[in-house]
Amino acid sequence: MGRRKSKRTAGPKRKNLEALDVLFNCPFCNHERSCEVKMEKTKNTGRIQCNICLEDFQATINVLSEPIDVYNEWIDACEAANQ
Amino acid sequence: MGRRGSPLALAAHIEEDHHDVLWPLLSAIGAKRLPFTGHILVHLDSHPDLLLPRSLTAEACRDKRQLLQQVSIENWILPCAFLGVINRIVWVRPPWSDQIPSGRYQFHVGREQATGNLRLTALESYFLSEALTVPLADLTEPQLVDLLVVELNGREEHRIMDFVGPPDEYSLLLDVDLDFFSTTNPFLGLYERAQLYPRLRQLYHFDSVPSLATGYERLRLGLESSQRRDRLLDRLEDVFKHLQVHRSLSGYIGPGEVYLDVVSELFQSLTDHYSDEDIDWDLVHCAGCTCDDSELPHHISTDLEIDGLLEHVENLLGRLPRPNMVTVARSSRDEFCPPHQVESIQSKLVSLLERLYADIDVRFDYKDDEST
Repeated sequence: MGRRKSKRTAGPKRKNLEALDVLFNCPFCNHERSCEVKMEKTKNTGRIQCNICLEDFQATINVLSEPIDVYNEWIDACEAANQ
Repeated sequence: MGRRGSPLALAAHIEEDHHDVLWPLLSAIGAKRLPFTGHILVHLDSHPDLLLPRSLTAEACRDKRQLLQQVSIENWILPCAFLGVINRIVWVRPPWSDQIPSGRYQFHVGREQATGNLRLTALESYFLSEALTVPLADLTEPQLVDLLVVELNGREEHRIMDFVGPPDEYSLLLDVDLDFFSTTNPFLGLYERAQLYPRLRQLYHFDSVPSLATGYERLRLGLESSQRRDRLLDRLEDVFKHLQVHRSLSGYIGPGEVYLDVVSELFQSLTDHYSDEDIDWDLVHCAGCTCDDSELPHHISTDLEIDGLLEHVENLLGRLPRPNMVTVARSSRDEFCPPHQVESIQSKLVSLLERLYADIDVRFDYKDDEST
């Protein structure tokens, strides 16, 4: 518990963090939760691949990135390619 | 608009507790909507919030979820400095806040070799009284922090312009605690019938480093002061933890024995005036920890004073470049911002931001938390 500017309430309320999901729906074959993200933080790389159709995507990441960020970047890249 | 958000809209996140602003900020950096480095944080608050969680390791700091679980309202900024995200900070304080005097400070935040915990090298009383200061030689992975402290009074703001430099060389993050405009020290009224706060002031006395001490002498005195403070707080924490569990001092054996006489008097006074179930001994210790050579600010502003400060804020923001993110903390649940004023202050601030930034997208995140 902090010292100088502590909570006045005894039990500090914590924000509910969203679950750390690593499986996502495939934008190519549309299978649900078939795409798995692997985060290689030492290489600053996140890689996502569909276990069904084997489509994949790779993005640069940083220490604060989460799997959903790699997936969202993939979806944005797909949308950009379709325009 | 892509799933990662439009780069054109300016996101403003309003949270209840101040450390919760890290969630949208770090998420935006993780998603690469904001750059990883090169930010200047302009932080308007009655409190510096510039401490470190005492047990936060460098490894835990690099894990966003662990970090978010360990930070609190008084210590959410400097872990970002260790990460390299925010290394230039402007603490803009109202006239009644004096925890760190106006001026420019440079110090390091790094990993203490012996413990793996984050520590820093600053020698101001604000840091020494929390026993966070260690010599630079004890730190690995040191990150430089450049801190400017400025009072918002219509006269010192030019120093912010000098500090931030040309706008194309950094990304501005604007952060406002609504207690900047009006604040209470919620510990002042705690167990008032037992005169708790004056008693705690004596018990948690802190010897600051004489302002005339400089150079090596200041470092030596500062480290000694920090170590004494660390011992005092650890010992008192041990006694009050015992009281919280056992509800009595009888049978206490531990490092806090040297303070047993004084704590016994405090115990007697509190139990004379309050029933046992109404006394939270952890909270008593927390209140004591706020006592050092300065006190938490306590200034309930009039509407006129709030409007005057808002005018100064609008003038300041009008001179600064457009921020890349705005974060706001209400700080009303813990009463640092008076609950009867928070809605009015928030409404006026939001109007001000909407006048300044036409594309602002204000998100009332605290309402989502209230509903869960």
